[in-house]
Amino acid sequence: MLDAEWNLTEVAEVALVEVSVHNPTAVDRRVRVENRLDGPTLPPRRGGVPERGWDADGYAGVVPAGGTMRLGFASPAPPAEPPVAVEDGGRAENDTAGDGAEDREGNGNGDPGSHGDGAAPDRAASAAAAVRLLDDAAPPADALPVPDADADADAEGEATAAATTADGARRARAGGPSATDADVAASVGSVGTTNGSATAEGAGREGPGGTDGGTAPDGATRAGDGGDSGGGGDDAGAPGPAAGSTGDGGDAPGPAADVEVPPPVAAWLAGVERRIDHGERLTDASVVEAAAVLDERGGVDAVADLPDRLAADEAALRALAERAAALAERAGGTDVPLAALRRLA
Amino acid sequence: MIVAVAGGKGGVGKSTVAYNLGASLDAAVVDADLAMADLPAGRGPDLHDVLAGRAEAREAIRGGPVRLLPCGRSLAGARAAEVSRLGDALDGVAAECGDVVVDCPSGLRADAGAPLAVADAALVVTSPRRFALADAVRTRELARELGTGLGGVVLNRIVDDAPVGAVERALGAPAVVVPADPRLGRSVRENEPVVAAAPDSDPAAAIDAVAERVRRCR
Repeated sequence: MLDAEWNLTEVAEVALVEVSVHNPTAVDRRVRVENRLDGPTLPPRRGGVPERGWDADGYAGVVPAGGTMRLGFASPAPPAEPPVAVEDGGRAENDTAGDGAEDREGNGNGDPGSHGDGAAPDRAASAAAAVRLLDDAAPPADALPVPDADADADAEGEATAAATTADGARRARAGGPSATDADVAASVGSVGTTNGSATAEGAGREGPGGTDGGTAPDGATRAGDGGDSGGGGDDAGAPGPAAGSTGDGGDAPGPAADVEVPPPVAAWLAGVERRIDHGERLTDASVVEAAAVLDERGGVDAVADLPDRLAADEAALRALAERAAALAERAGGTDVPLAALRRLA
Repeated sequence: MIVAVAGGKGGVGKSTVAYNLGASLDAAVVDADLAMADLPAGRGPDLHDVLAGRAEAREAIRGGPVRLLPCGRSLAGARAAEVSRLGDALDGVAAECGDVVVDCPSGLRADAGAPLAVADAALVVTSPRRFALADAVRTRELARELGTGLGGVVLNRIVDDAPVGAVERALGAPAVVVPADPRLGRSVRENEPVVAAAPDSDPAAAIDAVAERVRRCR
């Protein structure tokens, strides 16, 4: 009595089945659509709860007189024909039974109204029905943080941020968070500068470093470590986006001062720089200095992998420098004739 | 028996009514306002934990002047809470404590609908504030759509003459008038139900009348 048509497509090894059931008779009729594919039935869901009428084997519902019902589901199964078996369940009683749910054992799709009639209330089904019917009320998600390339950033970031807020003097010496991008850009430009700038600020902090006399960005470089925006311990690796602006820490060097490095790169470099800073401070460190670094990193275990990571960082930075230099050459060598292209278009 | 105390609008006094009603019924009170909880909490597992599967419902019930299952206060907790688990959670509380009063959030979304759908009866709280009655009507409709009957109406925070007739006609159920009273106002904050603090007072009598209305719904 019911006319059914199906359509089967396959996307990425999942079969998508569409079914259309038409009821040409003058009365509402029940229908049962069973999944005949060799795989589980994945029905449409709302808020994680399967839509009303669906169960593990398929769908049960009522097709109104003269009407057409369309439904669809997925199944991670090899395509087979026919993908569904459509059964005519006979004439549907009127009033509530809108989904034939009472034909099956309770599976979370029952009509919530049924619990008022003296039967043991199915509270899980009621909650599921409410979730299905109504809008989601969860608070919105956090804004996406910039991915932090430094795997130990959380522990380190918190320690660093805490150390920073406790040490107002260091903040003052650091001169604020804003110059980080410029220094990062400067560091990327050529390998030579990086060593000089990072080491120089060791001298500024009464530490053991300071072997190469001061080059300009020392005070500003310090900011990349601790001074960055106090917001969120897990964001310590990403001063780049917070800074945004460039070079206004004052002493940033020459041509790279106005270049903004993409946040993920800035974040990665900030993490690298933090490790380098710790490594330098631990090199030939005094007891006081060494203790300070151990405190920041969270104990000697956290420092155990530092030599290996620094070696990896050095290799990565050198490779990056070569590649960046080559790409810069190529970028500089291009000459896109915009005017001519506009005439072409 | 599970009673959902709902009201559509914030500020009508749902939480205060739910808390005091729980004391009068000797029921456990569940703070189901997942994003803006306000019943007394403390350390230990809460409803966020229960709805995220981190704790059983009975582990989160606290003793005190009123048995409470409080809710967490963090956004992360609210995000991780699965509202669809509320049915099982309330079943767990009912198994442990008998009667349960659920303080529902305001609004008409899934977080308000789930406790309404799960409850055996709904209690709609409204007040003489502007638009509170319209929101109460919407909440009553939502309860009806979810298959839960209206057990009673509370006309709360009454100072002068209460428009009882109009409210009863609009909502289709008898209304109990609860007067505005500072003892009620501070009962939640101080974790001191008015039926214990001032048993012979008008507000206590009104709360007992609400409890009697709920008992008739069994």
